[in-house]
Amino acid sequence: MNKRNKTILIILLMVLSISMVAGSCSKDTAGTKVELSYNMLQDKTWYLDNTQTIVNTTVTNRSYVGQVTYFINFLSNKTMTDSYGVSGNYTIAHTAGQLNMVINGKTAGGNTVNYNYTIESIGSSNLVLTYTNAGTIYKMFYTAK
Amino acid sequence: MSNFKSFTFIIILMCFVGNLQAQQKDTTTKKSPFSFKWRMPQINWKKTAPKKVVTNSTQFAETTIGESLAQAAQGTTISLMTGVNFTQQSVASGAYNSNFNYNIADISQDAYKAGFFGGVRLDSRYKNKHDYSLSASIGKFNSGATYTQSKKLPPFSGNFSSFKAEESFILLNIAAHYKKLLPIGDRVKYKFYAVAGPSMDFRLSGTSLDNKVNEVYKNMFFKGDIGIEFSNSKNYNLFFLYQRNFGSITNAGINTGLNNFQIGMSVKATDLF
Repeated sequence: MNKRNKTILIILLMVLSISMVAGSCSKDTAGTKVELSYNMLQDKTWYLDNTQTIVNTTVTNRSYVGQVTYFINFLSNKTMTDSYGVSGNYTIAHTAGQLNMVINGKTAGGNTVNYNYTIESIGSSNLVLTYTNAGTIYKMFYTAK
Repeated sequence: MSNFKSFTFIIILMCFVGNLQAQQKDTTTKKSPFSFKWRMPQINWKKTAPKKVVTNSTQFAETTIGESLAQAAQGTTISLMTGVNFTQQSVASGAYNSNFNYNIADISQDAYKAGFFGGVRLDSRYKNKHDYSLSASIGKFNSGATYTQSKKLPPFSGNFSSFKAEESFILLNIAAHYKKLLPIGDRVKYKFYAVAGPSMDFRLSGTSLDNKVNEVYKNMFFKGDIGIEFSNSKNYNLFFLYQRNFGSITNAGINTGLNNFQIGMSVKATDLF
């Protein structure tokens, strides 16, 4: 092989290699969002510090900081318990461009309870959950401690 | 995926080694066109009959790496280089939204963190007048990050960001530097150069889970390099470079600047092998 052809071959190989490196990223962002949410949520106790009730444009704030407040504990085996004595399972899913959390639990008395929340924002120590009931939006602000 | 990227990097390195060997093999050219063992389709760039190049396969077998490097080094200096780098990112992510929040007080580190790099470098002179160097290196970059924009998340106190900067990268860097000799000291014994030029970085490492969410980091970006170099009679070079990317190394409205200082040394390959 002469020098020119070898140079062409080398350039082609380099372009091919660089293209492969540049194009070899993961695109499963929905699954990644769910995985990251689990990582941030689990093995922590989340305390309800504040709530917002939004009716039309009227916002009512309520703070529980410094008081005995509701808490919920999410474990890495996808189970949960809360301060009301509810225990069960939780699942996070990414649907319609939103992160959602479904809790299927039972009270101490054996009654079934189901919660369906939208995860508005989640971090390693701050969590904002919302749900809508009869046109009223409820926002709950949790802090991990 | 990391194995795949490693394999790709090995291919790139093989390309460079092959290119170096091609330089020395062409010194044994003859005019006979019939002694190829393996032919590639000819491309006639100048629309004239191309000169045929004859290679002697037995000579290849007997040629050692050291001899190959010595012959290739007649016109140029091939060196191996290594050193440390110090990297910091400056992030403006105010326009970026995601479901995730990061307390800036927890993730911000206004510091240059140390990493390391190593690679191959070729020093030569264009038209016997202009000194330049070409280099290919792979490096581990650890980075602190400062956040110039923040968000509020009321009623939570503190400043938040929807984006968390990556803390470490593995980058393949390909650089071309022009070297201007400075009139300092005894230039027979040693030389000082001002160095400047562009470089290209290819991100070989994946990102953390925080950044896989939206894949905001670019796989390739360009940088401008500037620095000084000390050359001791071409036996070894010491160099100090400042590198800054053009534009941003992230997408999605996040403006991320990568500031990097390199302190390194290159030694002639023929002195090592």
